[in-house]
Amino acid sequence: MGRGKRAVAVAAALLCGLAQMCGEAHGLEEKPLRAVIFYHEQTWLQDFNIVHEIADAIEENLEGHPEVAFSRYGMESVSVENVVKLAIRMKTDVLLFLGTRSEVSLEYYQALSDEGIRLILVDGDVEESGRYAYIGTDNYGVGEKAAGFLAEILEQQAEVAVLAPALQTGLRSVGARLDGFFAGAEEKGLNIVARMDTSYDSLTAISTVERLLDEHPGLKALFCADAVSGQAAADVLEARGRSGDTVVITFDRNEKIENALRLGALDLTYTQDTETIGEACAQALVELAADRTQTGEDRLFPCIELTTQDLEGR
Amino acid sequence: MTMKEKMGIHSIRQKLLFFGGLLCMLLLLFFSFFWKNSQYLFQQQNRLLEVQRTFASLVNGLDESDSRLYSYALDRNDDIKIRCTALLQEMQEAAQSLAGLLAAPIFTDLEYLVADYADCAGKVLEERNAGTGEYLALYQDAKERMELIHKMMNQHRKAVNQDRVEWQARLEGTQENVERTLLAGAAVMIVFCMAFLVRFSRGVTRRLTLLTGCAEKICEGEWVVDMPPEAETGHDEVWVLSRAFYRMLDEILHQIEELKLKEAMERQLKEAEVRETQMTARLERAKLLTLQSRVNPHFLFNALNVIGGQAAEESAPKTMDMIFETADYLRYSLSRLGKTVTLEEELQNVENYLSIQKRRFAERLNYEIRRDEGCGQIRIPSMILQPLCENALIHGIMPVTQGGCIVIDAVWEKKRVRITVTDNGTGFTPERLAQVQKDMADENYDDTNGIGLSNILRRLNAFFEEPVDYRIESEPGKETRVSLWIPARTSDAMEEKDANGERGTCG
Repeated sequence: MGRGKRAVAVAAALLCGLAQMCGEAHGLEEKPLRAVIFYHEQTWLQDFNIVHEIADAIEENLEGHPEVAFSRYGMESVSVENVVKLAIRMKTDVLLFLGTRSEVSLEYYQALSDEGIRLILVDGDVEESGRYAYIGTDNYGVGEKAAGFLAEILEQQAEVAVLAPALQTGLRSVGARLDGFFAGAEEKGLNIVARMDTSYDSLTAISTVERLLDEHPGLKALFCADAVSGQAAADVLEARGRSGDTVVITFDRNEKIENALRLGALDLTYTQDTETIGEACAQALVELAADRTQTGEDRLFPCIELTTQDLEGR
Repeated sequence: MTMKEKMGIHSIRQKLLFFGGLLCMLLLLFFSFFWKNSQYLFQQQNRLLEVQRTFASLVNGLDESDSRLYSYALDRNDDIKIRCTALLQEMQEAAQSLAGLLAAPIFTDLEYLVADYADCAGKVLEERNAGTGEYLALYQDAKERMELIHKMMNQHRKAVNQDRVEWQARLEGTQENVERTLLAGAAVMIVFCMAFLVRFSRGVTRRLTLLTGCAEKICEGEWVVDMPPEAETGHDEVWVLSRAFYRMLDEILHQIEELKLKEAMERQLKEAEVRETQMTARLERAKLLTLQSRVNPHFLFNALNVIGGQAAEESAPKTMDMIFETADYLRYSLSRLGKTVTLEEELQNVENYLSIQKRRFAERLNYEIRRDEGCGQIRIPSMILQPLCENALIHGIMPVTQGGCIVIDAVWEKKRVRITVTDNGTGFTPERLAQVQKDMADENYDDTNGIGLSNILRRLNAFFEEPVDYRIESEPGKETRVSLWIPARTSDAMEEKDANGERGTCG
């Protein structure tokens, strides 16, 4: 065999080998990491949907990443049971969901773990769930920060009340905010005179606020752990002409909250940075797709503060 | 290498083939594009329909399978089981197909969910020997899965609709692009064809028209035609033909000029020859005149007449006759020299001559002159017969001692007069006769010192402007006969010619 022919044969063999390797590599890449997120289809009462927004951000940040097959489902009712069942039946690799803590939900989280499905919690952390990672707002820290804010602006022994939805739902985002607030209040020596449960029903929330104001006419500040409570507090205070007298802190953001901020009925709201959270989730999924043996890493993000001055400045 | 290759000629056939090939390639490209896009549009349309049909089949299958499963849980009918199993299989295939057709991961999820549902429903169908309650419990489990799938199907419905809208928009866009490209391609091809035709028309037919125009002018007799500048363009067959045509035309014109020149030169040469001939004749005439002047015929005639008168006074009649005959002969010879005479005058002169010679040779010479009626009127050059008679006398009769005879016959033969001079003298030996005939055949033969026959023939040929036939026959010791066939020309015509000087000299 001549030198030329030998060189051609070697080149052909190399090419064949390379093609085979590429084929194998391609074969590996052909199975993308399947991830799924469930959220309420409706924007619910507050005209916003945090998980929905996070899903949008994840989807946006996963563009150009075929190694992650991301599915999103907006459903009429989202329960841990249904979500986990679906995740297991569709044999997904990763489930992204908001964190709720209850005995039942913990059982389902366990079932997920048994099936080898990784759980990423995005709105409220439940450490006992055996989650892969929590990527979301530092609710505890936000609570602490709110307490610090009130301690700064209020006089000593000024009356502070707390409004929060009943925690039967087990939503860990609200629970963590409260935990953080109470810890901060204790540390700062805030005078918490009352804590009342509202619900996600606006009318119930309004009546609760009215009852609270009646019982504590000298109330100087209100910490509302959810948007429904915050809006109810703003509405009642405004109706009673006490908008400037009582400091109201709430969470999330919608048109009503913005109006209340402008009117002075609300003083501060904390909104979750869903875009950053979504981006971080997408990044975590891409990293997991690249190395499916790696362990998860929690990513906590602060809330964005929005005050009356911020709105006026715009 | 052919001449075409050498000259770098691109033939019309090559041009047409090149254009045809290019056109075919364009058409091929055009139709390939059209065919490929049609195929693409057709496939995508089919895909759209397939997605819609498959999704509808899956949604319907979920509901239908639920009702069949419920029926089976109650009755455990084998027919229902078979149909339900087939339906579940179809559903799984539909979900699989959707996952393949649509890239969205939710369809992969759906494929798994349907498979899970089918698996669960399969348990209902595979269960044996269980009670209705157990069957219903299994059915409830499957139903719960089916309902859960239904709850999330809204997402899939939206995705299918979105896919339909997107693909329809894409198809419409593709269709518009295809139409635009087809129109542009058609326009390009039309422009290309038109451009070629215009160029071809200018390059070939225009030059052919010019060539035809030139040919028409030539047909009308206009030989001087300039080569138009267009004929020099385009290195193809028409160019070659044009070049050959104009080169040929130049050559013909050149040949015509040469022919004209040659004709003029020949005419000049002929004129010079005529002039030379006339000059020679004039010279000969001058020579004769000079000779004549030397003899001084008037003096001679007067002297002979005086002598004749003296002979009469002295009573010597024979002498007197002889002198007068000699005077007549001499007068004839000198006065008719170089002129035409009638045959009768010539015969008369010959008779004078022979009569004189008879007095000399007495019985050794006899003669006879015979003529047909009317023969004597034809005109001939003078002094034609006398040399023949002299030859007969000198070469034929003189060597014999007695009984010599010379006979002259002039007889009609058709439109000619045959003149024969016959003598019964010594005759020619065959060798001598052959030599004489050979000499006569030679145009350049000069017989100044011979028998003089060639000189006679030259004069006759020149006089009649055509060869005069003759014959020499001889038998040694017996006779010699010389015959001439003289064309019978009217006297008037000959005289007229004589007067105009148009005839060749005969002297």
